[in-house]
Amino acid sequence: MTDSSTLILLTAILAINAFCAGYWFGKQRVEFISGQTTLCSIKKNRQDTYNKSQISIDDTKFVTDINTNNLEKKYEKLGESTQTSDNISNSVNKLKSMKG
Amino acid sequence: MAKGLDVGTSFIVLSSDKGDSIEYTDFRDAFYVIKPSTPVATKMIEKGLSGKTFVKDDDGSFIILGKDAIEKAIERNDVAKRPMYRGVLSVKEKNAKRILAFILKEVVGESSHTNEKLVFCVPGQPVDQEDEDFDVGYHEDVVKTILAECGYDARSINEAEALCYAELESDDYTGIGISCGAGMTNVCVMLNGEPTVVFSTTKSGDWIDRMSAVATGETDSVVQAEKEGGHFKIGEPNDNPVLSAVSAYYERLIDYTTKQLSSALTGHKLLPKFKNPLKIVIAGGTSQADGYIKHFEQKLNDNGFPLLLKEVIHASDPLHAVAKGCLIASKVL
Repeated sequence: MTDSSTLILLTAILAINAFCAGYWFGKQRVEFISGQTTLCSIKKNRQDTYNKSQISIDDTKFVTDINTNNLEKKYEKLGESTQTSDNISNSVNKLKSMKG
Repeated sequence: MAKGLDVGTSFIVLSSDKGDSIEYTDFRDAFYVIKPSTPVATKMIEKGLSGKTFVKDDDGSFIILGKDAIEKAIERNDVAKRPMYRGVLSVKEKNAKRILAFILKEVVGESSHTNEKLVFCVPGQPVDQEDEDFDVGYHEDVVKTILAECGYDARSINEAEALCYAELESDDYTGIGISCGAGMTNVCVMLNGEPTVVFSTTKSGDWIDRMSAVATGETDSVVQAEKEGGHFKIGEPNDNPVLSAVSAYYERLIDYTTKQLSSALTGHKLLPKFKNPLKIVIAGGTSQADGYIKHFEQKLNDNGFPLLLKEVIHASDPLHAVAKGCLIASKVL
């Protein structure tokens, strides 16, 4: 084999190896990037779900207007009143001091 | 000036401080609607209601209020309606909110000055039922709205907590208050003026009325009237079949309530470790039956009550104790 033939052969082998290495590394990188994208999607979905669960609606019942003006009274007094001898000032003062 | 208000299923009681006395205004929390079919019937009905407590609605119907409503319902072999159910605004009654608003405004009246303080009571969460219709928050908001229209700065406290404020002063506000109302039985364990454990059960006076009505074929209103007006002793037979049924159901109610009480308190993580035996004070219309306190104390012992008891007593004024407690709270909180 002449020197030029050997050189051509070596160059060809090197080129093929370089192509194969490039192809393999390139494939690995694409898979890695796809994986990252999938992970980001999953994280984003989870984030969205988490945000949605943080958002709640105020479903406490609304107190509508209560109109009693259209009820015409036909009596003089409602209820029976009684008075009981009882001074609560001591009770109030004691409870105030206990509650601080 | 400040006021207390017991917004009960059976009675509404307003309390006002008069210095050396307390003035209570009581009103039966019930209504009955009569809708006349003709203009002639309207005149006849209105004449027949002379002397009764009633209002006329703009659709021509008559709404009888209070004890007159119960009497009229019994006359017609019917049941009086109530704006409250189990201690809160009834969601089953269409007119409940309107009628309750009317009664409250009439009983409470206008405030003596803007933002006069008023404390009203609400029931605790029941331990024996999960009911979506039991909405204390909504009931509170409705009552506050009504009272605000009358010029009051209203806030709520638990019904049994109010009872403790009224009756436990001599025990340094330490003990247990049990309010046996019509709709529910409310319980509060208090330590030095602070409520520690608060809950309710859904069986009380109304349950006795309902069960006795089914047993005897009478209406709930008839049973209620017989129960409140008749003479019977808990656990003893009676010649009157209604009172006999009532007496029997009272025994079952006391057994149930003491079991629930013992179960709820046993191992409760918020229950304080009391150094001394406790006083239990009981109030409410349902507790007025002859023999109630004696039976209650007996059943507490039978059903393994987890705390040491000093005594079980009846409130000095069982029908007004909660309102008095609300009045005390209005001057403190």
